[in-house]
Amino acid sequence: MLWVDKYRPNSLEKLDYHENITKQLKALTQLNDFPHIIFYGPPGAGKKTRINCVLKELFGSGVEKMKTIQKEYQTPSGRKIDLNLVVSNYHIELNPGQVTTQDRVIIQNVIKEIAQTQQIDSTAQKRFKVVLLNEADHLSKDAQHALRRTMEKYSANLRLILCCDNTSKIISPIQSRCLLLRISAPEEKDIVNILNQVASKEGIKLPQKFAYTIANKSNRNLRRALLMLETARVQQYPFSEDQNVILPDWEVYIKNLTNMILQEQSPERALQVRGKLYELITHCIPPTLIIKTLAIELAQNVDNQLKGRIFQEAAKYEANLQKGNKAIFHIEAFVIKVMAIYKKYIIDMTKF
Amino acid sequence: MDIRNYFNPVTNKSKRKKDNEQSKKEDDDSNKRVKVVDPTTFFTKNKNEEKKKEKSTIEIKDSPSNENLSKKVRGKTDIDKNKDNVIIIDDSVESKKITNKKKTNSSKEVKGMSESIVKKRASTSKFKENKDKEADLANNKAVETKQKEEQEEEEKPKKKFNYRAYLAKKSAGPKAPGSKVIPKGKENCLLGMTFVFTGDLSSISREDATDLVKRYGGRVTGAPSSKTTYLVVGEDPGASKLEKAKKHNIKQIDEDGLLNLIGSSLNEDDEQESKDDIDIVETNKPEHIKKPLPTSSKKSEKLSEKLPEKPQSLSSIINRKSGKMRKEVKIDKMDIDEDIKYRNNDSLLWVDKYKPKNVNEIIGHKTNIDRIRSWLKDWKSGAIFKKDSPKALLLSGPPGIGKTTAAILCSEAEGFKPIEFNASDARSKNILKNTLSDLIGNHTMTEYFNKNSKPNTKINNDINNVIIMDEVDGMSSGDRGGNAELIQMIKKTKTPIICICNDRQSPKIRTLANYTMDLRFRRPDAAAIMKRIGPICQKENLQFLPNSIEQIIQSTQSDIRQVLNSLATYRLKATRITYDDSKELVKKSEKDFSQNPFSLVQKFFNLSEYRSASFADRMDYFFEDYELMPLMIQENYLQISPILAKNERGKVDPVKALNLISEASDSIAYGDIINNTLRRTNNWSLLSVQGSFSCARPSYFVHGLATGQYNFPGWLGQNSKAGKYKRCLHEIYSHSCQKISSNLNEFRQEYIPSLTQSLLNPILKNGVDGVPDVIEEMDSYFISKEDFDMIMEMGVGDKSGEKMLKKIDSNTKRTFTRLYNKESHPTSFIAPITVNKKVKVEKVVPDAEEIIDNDENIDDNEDENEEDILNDKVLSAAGVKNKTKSKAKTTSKRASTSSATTKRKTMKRKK
Repeated sequence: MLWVDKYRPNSLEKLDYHENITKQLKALTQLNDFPHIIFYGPPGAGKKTRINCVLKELFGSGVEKMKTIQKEYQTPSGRKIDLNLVVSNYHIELNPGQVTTQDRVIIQNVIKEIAQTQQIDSTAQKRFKVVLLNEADHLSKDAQHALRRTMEKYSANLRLILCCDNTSKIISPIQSRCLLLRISAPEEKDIVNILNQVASKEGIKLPQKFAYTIANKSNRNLRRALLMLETARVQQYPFSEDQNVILPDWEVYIKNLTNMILQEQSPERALQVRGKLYELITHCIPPTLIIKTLAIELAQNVDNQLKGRIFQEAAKYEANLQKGNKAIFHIEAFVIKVMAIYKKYIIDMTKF
Repeated sequence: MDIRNYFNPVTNKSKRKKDNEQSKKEDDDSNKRVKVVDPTTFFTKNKNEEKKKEKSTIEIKDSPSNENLSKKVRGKTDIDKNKDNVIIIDDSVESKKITNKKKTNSSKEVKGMSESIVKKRASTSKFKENKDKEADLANNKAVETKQKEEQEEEEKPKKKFNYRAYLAKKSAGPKAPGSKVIPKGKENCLLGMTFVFTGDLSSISREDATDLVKRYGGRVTGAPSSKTTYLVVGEDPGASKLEKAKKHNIKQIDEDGLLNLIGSSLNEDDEQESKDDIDIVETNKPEHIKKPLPTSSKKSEKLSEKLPEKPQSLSSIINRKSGKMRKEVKIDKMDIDEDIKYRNNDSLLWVDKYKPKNVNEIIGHKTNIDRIRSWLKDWKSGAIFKKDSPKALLLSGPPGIGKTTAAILCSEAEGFKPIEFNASDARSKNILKNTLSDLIGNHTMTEYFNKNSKPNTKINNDINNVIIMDEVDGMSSGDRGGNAELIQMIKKTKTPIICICNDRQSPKIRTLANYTMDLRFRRPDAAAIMKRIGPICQKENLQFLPNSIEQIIQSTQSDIRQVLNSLATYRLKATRITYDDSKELVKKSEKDFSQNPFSLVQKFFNLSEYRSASFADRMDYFFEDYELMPLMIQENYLQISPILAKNERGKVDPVKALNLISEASDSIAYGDIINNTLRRTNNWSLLSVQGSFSCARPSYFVHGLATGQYNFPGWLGQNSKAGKYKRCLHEIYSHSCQKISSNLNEFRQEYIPSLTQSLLNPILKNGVDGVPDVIEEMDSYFISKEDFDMIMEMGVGDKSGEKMLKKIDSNTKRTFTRLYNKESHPTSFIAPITVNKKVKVEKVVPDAEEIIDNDENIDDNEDENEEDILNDKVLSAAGVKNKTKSKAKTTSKRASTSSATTKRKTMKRKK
């Protein structure tokens, strides 16, 4: 098992940073009246870890006995949807983002099903079950509206925990019914601290400079930092002080792409770039992430004058991408635009 | 000019014979005198001036009532050698004209004739060579075409040129388009002349030049031969063509020469015309009505009856123009009586009106028809049962070339009664069985009583049915099982079955083809169709030029039905079809044919095609296939070198080019947004907006020279690939989501690269010894072997699992697979169906290959299952109203699972 999962804290006491939030959660679990909660924050900040800890605090270790079941639901139009649910006796975990278009049906069926039954384990500490909705920001507006009535009506039997990256895509009626908890990304020193803990548990030596490099490269994403550490361990051990951090495959790929764009600006090159972009998109790298990473990489490699322009264009094309359907069209348009800007800049420079 | 009698086949026939006689005589005649016996024949001949500079004289014996008319015609600059041509025309019409005017028509005809005579000089001039072979050559066009082909074949290996460069050059068009004024010439001023182009013309493209020549009645061929009148030499001419031209002593002219030739024709004819004009004025008939009104044409018909020697000259020219056409034209079936019958029946379509009435009238397909007939004869004689030859025929070929007609007529000719089934009939398995089993099996009562008789042959002789299954490739979903049933029927049929299809390659046909005799119908050549279309036009009183009809035939790809339909439509508004008219007609109807996406893309991007199309045209191209065209444009717009990017010096400005391409890509991206909105909101009125953004606008920015081949959209393939990977990612994620904390995207971005590393590293480092570690790691995340493979494929770039996997030797891989299959693996999943199955199998037949769960696992499962059942019971007790059927199913399944496990438990206890 990877270190990131191996050394994940499984109770509120073992959590490392954000002590305030931990205290708050502890207090909440003591109350009889546990609210609906939205956990939000950047990836790798520890949302899911905290949710699991809260669940354990609420129901005891029985919550950890989970299984995945597959259920089939039928939409009104007769289409059948398979859904994987992770369930324990006390909670149920949903990833409705998997079924993008028909998530409303899922929400209606699953949640009602659970909400209409009471907790049967009389020894349980709480009278309610918990429904955990992952990727709540991927829920369609319809599904969210379906949720809001259920939240009030069945509040005796049911608590919702929503987990998402940011709340902007969650409709305000739901936000107002929930306690919003922001889990911010750990600071670099927190990350280094945790990296050191893990290293000592694994019995490996971790040079402090390298730990800081990892923390830096991880963009304050703890999960990423731990995975990087493990990958680095696989690649080269013992660690040296200034060892290179190995980036994920797609990031390396986009870096190469950036070089291609900056080396040559021509239709032929654009055609080659298209091939690479297709490769990324087909391998499940989200288009938004591609544009974002490309823009950052490009900006790092061009003159200051162009940086602003590149981000401006990236923002524009990313917005268009959301409205459109075929991501490649927009990313390609962005790449060609950057090529045109860069080429003009280079030629103007050589004229002087 | 009246050309109605171009194809008067009866006279042609007789004329041809006479021609032959003449040429024989001609050869004998040392004085180079040509005697023409028949008054209807017009013949010109010029002397071998090159050697002897003699005056050539053609005498034409005439019918008693007529006098001889001779005209001396001045040669043009280009054929000044023939200055001394003397053409003696003898014609009753002519005589009437001189004795001063009858009807306008006749005078017009004469005028036309005299014009054509002038033109004729050109064609005669080339006779000066090969004097000996002349007669043969004149009559045998086939020889000539053969020669040409040979020449072309010779040319091919010599030339070694870059086809891409040639294409680019070709698509680039002329250097200075429109720099020269294209003169207007007299109609048919190039009649009888044959042109060959070589090199690039400066002001007009090769296509346009070809058009120009054709418009004035000339012919354009690929390679020069003895029949060629002019070689039009442009820039950078082909060496072999020049050589050939020299060999055949062909006059070489340049572009200006060609234009002059056309331009000068007008002036030259003016003299004659003015003469004719006077005649016409005297008859008080307005000359400017070029298209004769129906009444006047009727008059002309009457006239032609009186004057059977109507302008044969023209038909003779046509005959010379195309040797194939000179072959005997058979329309004896369409004699006048029948024709009158037809005319009364105006409501019929031309296609039906002039449908072939017997086998001989079918255009082309001679061998195929023979084969069908001999096959049917076999049926009749019963030989088919002995021969073991296929019991059915499969006729395939493009539409409108007469497959069905051939099938029906052949059956009729052989005395069979055709029973036709086509796509308009339902042809499902049952219907076929019910309706056809009677026909194919035909049992008679005697068959049952008299077992010694041989029913097969006898019965077939009596019944004489032929089943024609038309459009077998069109068996749709409604005709389920129809094809299979058809094959079954063919196997045991006692009646001939003829199947007809368009697409021989269709997968539906593939099995059927194994049981049938394959006859492929090819498109008949234009000349063969001309033979038939000509008389029809004549009957329908539509005047035409051979070139114009040929144009229509070519554009419809020899679809006879299509040709007739277009002509019938055209006939409604005019009685005369010129070359330009036909071009327009073709262009109009072209839109109605669905075009393939590649030619459509070309229409957007190719420079000359871009210029010739309007915005509305481009929108039409888009609507041809509004799903595919935006993708085609997106796929190919980067392969165009935009013409707008060229600066004043004609060089491509890279910044300009990139800006243009950027504009195009922006527009395509906007098109995508519009498309998405359109689909989301069902607002299909946006489709035209999408068309302009996705197709028309990009083509404005980037039209120019293609630098590569046009490709089929890669997006389609990439999209399905993306879908596949997405599904797989979901699969892996759903397996391991209990153990990990991330969401799906993070799983791909962070976990997959690390997992790839940690899964591969043990075997990369330790080989076979590392395998258990890998399996342990997989089990800790509930990753199955399939998931493992998918994780390896999921990576991109050099560090992807796929590439690393290649470094691992096959032995390790084998061990890995073996070890993995040997052990059982925990799953996060409770997949009711699979669990159920496994347990049963284990219980009944203990198999070493099967995975044996370890006891701990089973116990765990049991506990969970029991809890589950409890849960479900409570659920049902609570009376959930909207419990779905599927839910109920899973419950029952789970119940059976648990019962299976309890059984097992008891078995264990017994042990």
